[in-house]
Amino acid sequence: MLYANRLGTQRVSAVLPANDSWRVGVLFSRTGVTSVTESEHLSGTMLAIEEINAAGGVLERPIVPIYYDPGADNRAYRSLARQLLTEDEVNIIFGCSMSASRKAVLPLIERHNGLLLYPSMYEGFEYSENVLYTGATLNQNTFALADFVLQRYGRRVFFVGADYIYPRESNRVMRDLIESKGGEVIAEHYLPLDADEKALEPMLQEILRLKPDAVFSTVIGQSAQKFYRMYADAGFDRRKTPIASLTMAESEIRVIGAEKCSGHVLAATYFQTVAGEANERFVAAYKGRFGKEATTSVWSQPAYAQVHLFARALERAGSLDSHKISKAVLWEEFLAPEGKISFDSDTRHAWLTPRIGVARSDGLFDIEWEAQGPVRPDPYLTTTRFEETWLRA
Amino acid sequence: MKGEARKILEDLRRARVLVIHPQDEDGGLLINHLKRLGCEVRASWPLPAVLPSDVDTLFVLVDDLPMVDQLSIALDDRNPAIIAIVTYESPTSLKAIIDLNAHGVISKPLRPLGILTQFALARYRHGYETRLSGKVQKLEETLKSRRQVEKAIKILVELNKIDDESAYRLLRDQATAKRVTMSSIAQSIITVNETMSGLGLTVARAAKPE
Repeated sequence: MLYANRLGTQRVSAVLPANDSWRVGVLFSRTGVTSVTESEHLSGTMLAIEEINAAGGVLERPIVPIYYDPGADNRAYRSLARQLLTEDEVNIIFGCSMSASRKAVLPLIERHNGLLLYPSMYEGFEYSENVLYTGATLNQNTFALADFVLQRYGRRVFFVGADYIYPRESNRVMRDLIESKGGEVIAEHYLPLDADEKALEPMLQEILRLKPDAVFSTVIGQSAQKFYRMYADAGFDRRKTPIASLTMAESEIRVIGAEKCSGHVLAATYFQTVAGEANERFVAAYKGRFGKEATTSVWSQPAYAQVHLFARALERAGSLDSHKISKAVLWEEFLAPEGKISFDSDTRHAWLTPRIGVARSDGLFDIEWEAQGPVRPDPYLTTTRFEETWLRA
Repeated sequence: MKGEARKILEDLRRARVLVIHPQDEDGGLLINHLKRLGCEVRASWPLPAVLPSDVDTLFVLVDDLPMVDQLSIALDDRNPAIIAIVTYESPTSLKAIIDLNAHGVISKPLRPLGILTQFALARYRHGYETRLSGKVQKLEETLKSRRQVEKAIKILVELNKIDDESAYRLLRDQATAKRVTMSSIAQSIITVNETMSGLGLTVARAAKPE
């Protein structure tokens, strides 16, 4: 609990001499447009570190996080990563959420031979020996969602996205999928990352006019929350015409209001409602730590799991050396709350279990479909076929 | 636009890649990354005397000019997409990649980021260059054949006292009847005329049958 009462301050420094502890860096935004989801990354990370320390640490030394809040600003990500790597002399960093923040710190991480553990879902097409990718790449969330939307809601789909790389890439792939399966993308629009009600209104009017069978949204952060609220107020029948997304999970739904979100669809590798003892333990620990109203999600869980994977690798390697940790972690297998996870050594991405959930009135999800087991990550989409059927009609 | 981004990747996956680089850390990194991208890739070092017949893309270590000469011998008349791998940014190295007409360049020490971009760019530029040179060749042929036709018309006009239009029609009808190009008819007229005038004779109009 070293950091616990210090989390409110901007910087949490190591209180023990360096050789009595394992010092690691943590970079997630508790402020800015993505504050809700990135705070969950942070909570998952901190919970795992506390658990490990409570159980005696790794090789009898505690893990000590040095945390900074980049405020969802990519320049801050870069300068704080530099601060961690140079001033604080830390080489392991748990951090980043949007691709732009990962790209901002990557050159520094590579130059200093650090190791970034990245917990967010993203668009793939990256490989660095200085990164471990714990979040889902497109073949682990987007592919099954196309089948689900077409089979359950209909063939006319409306696309709306935030204007940055993840929406652009996932929409490109989603369009190929929908079209190769006989569906139709009736509109595709992009909004600024910080779009407000005024920017969202014309979009909503067009959805009302075109009457799609479903909306595929890759809008994120605060504008996504606004969009979902406006969608609820516009009176759509969400059971028939939901918004499907890859990111709108439990905790953001709680912020929007669960009653405004029931019926919406999420494709993710984790839901709070995943069955199993490992998840029950995780949910109980999370609520115990962050309050009984707190919900776990695909934002907190991978962040939590990757710390545990790291700790096991550290135990095996006995050193924080980036290369040794990398080598060791690729051998680990961990029974995470979402199920068994491990890294694929060819791509350094995680094997994960794709799932699709429909939001309930209590803000959690009914898991309507899940893959039979973990699916191999395919960040360069080399083996995944667009025509393949993931869900039997 | 739609589907085009996917086509770029599909094209890369059809590529038959040969990596000409020592089997060291950089070589291993490059080959592993190309496999990761989903490509069929082979490795060879030193430079093979002859390129395997199905190779259409080369990643090749280019450090000196003799290497470029050897490579152009190995290439013979083959024309693959070439991505040069360079260690130095010296004038010699720059000249080598220009002589080689590389379509893309990656620099040592190699890192995964950037390989896909140079690979895709090289494949595209190579394809574009091939299409362009095909077009240029066709245009050159057209131009040459027009010159021959014009020359033949001039000969026909002078020797037979007919106008340009009739001479052109004679040529065209003859080409159609014999199923050959106008330029080959034109060429034979030019050749015959040159031969005859070399003998001090002219080509005369055939006597009309009685």
